[in-house]
Amino acid sequence: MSKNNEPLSPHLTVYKWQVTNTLSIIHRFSGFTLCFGGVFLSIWLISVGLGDSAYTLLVSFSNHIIIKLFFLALTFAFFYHSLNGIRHLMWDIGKGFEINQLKISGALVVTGAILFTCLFWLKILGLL
Amino acid sequence: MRSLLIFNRHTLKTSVGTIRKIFGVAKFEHSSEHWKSQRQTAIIIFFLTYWLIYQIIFTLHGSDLMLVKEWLSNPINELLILLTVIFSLYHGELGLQVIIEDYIPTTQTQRNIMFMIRLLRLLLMTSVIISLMYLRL
Repeated sequence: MSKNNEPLSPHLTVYKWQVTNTLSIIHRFSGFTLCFGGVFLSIWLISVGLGDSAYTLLVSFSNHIIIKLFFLALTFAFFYHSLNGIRHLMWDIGKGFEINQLKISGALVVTGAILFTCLFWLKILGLL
Repeated sequence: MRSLLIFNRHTLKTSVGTIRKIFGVAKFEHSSEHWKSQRQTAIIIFFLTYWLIYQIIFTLHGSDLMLVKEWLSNPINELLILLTVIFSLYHGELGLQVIIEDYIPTTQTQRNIMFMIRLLRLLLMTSVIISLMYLRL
């Protein structure tokens, strides 16, 4: 098996933990989580096509506490990834690179993600 | 005259390229191609997923099979959810490719994992398309 000539990315343990790299790692990790969300979305649509028994099975599976916790993590991951995605797109057009801008936008993204997640679940649970 | 045509050679080439990528018959993308595709799909699914969140809050959550089928019988909902699935899964594949290239040492292993991910993505995508077509029968 041939060894790739490109260097590997340094693993997470070698970094000094700062706000910027922590947010970046959460972006990647939330994206990874959202892949499972995409799989679930597909399975949900497939179960609708399969009919009543498959859909009932999926609903009862979704009512399990672990899956519900997964949904909670999924919504946070979604709001975080989408908001931080805007931040990434702004960097792509060359804006927001100053250290204080980075800190402010990072704080906004984290606050926004937590707020949206809370609002979403309050709305779903009928408390709002 | 040629410039008046909407499907000139350039736009045709781009759309054929996009379709090839979505249906998994294109090569794994690298560098600037990958970068562009990732941003394009990001912007597309940003709007689509917030539309989905809106639909979940106001229509879909807690609904039974009949309500979901009724919701899907609206062609706009059906089209948008299909596009959401297709572009989200493709964006996910592009993202996973970056993670794999960062942390898996050998090129051969990278390719093997990417092929498995692509196979899974195509399986899910075609199943969703067949499922939605079946509902239309």
